[in-house]
Amino acid sequence: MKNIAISLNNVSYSYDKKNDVIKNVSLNIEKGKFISVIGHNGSGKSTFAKLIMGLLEPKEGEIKIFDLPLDGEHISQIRPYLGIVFQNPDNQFIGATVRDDIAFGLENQCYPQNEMDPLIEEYAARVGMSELLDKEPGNLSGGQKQRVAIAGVLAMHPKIIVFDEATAMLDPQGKEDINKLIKLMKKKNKELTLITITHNVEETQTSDDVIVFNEGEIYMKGKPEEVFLEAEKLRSIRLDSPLLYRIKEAFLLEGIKLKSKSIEDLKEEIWP
Amino acid sequence: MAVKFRHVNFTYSPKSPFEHDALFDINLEIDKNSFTAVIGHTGSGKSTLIQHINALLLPTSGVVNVNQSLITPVRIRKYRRKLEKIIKSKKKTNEEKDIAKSLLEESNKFSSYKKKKLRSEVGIVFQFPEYQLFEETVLKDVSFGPRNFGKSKEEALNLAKEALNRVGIDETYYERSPFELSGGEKRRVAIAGILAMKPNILILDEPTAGLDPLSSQKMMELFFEIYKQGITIILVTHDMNHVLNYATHVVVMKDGKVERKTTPRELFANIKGEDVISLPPLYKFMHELADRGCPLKIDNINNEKDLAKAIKEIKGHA
Repeated sequence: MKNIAISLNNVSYSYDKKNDVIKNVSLNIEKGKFISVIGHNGSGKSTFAKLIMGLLEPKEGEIKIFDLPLDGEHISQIRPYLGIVFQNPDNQFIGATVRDDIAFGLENQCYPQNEMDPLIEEYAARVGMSELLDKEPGNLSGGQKQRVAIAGVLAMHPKIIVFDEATAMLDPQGKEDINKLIKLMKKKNKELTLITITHNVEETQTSDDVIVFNEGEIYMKGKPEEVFLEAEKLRSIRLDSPLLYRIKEAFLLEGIKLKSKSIEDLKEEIWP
Repeated sequence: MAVKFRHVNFTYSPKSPFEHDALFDINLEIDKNSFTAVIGHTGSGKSTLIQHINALLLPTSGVVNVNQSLITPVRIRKYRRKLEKIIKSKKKTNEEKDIAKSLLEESNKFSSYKKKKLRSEVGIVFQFPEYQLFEETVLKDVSFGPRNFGKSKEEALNLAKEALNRVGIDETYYERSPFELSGGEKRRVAIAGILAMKPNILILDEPTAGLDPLSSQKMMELFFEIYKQGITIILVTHDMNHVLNYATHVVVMKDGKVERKTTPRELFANIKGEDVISLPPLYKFMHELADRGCPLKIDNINNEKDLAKAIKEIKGHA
């Protein structure tokens, strides 16, 4: 189990103690993987995120983070491993300025002031916010606020970061900024386990694995090409595949089999 | 014509350290019974523009004509006097005088708006309208607007029931607390609250923000149904698929100006979108194929199947 960052064993959860919103889910997520979780509202994906963050406690079953049971006894040991970026950038901006906001987590970890300053600058630089360190939240766009939230999370040195619909409230530019940043984080730290909960299937293509939740259960799981080529199965729960797979499917209907695994390659294959 | 902007400029917090010009010489007509999408980057002036349509914001200069009533920067008589002064001034340029003449002509043709009437004719659904729910029951919440606009209790309840029916909320919900509904249901109730006031123009500011694709599609189908019933819809959105699938017209805003007004298909077929908008992914892909020399007729293609057929045909002829 050395390589397993997160494991769920027959986990169920219910908000009202009657209807399970997570039903007997078992799953292993390897260390350093980039996982996308998709599904409709009410499918259980956000509850799943809260369970693995220790924000909710399973009704049944067991969750382990790096082989430690996620329970009252181990939670304080596990918490530093975990970081989460929520949907609404306004709800997670704590400081009066970008600098104060990034400092918040470090202050909580009792860093001395002289050690904090270079760290704040380092993490602001990582998310491209060096120039805006003394700006107030009112002067930032939604995408910039999310970048600050990510810097604050990174400053805590987590081993697992969950993005819970972190781009849902951003404009297209903000979405693109955050998605680029996630890719960059992954490239720079191969040990970091990233989980994105998203509605946007186009954002999932660079992930290692895709998990599809439906009615509290894992409906599909696999590499993006394995999941999205099963277009009919996805459509039966009214989910769509990313453009790459929709184009490949349409060409197949015309008797043309395309092999590309990315939109860039697909352009080359269709019109060299 | 439902809405007509004439030479509208708008400045936030004028003559203060926070002064900020947000709209520049807006001239725009929105047809009655149309479904018009307003698109552009954050900060392009979309939200400022729509708030002029029900006089939540008043123009700094210029006029907005809504349902043949005029919204002016100050009371209409005072504004007319101001325009006359500009026309007679020796310090103003000919262009400024011409604009003042045309605005004076417009202000002489129409009477000033009445706030209460205007607010009942133009409904605005802001982002996350469900945050504005406050009453004990769904029916009370939806009937609050008509009651506030002077309808009797019975009339208001009837209007509320009709509006709830329109958004697909049946009578089993009437006595439930709005706070115990799902996210999508809450949003429908909030929209019913606006519809109960019988607007003939419905403005929607990012109405599907935060919804999953299925709920978002259902919401857009609801708005399209409302549009088909004869209500003018003005939709502010970042979702280009919604523009493509539902809008009859599209207004592109950039840096506080109207960049262009056209149809969605014409826009997406002829603009590459690097600068002003993010194209729907299929259109972006097709433009990139065209850039590689593929002779695609983009405006004839509606979906991936059309694309596959077109490419097969092109390659067959090659």
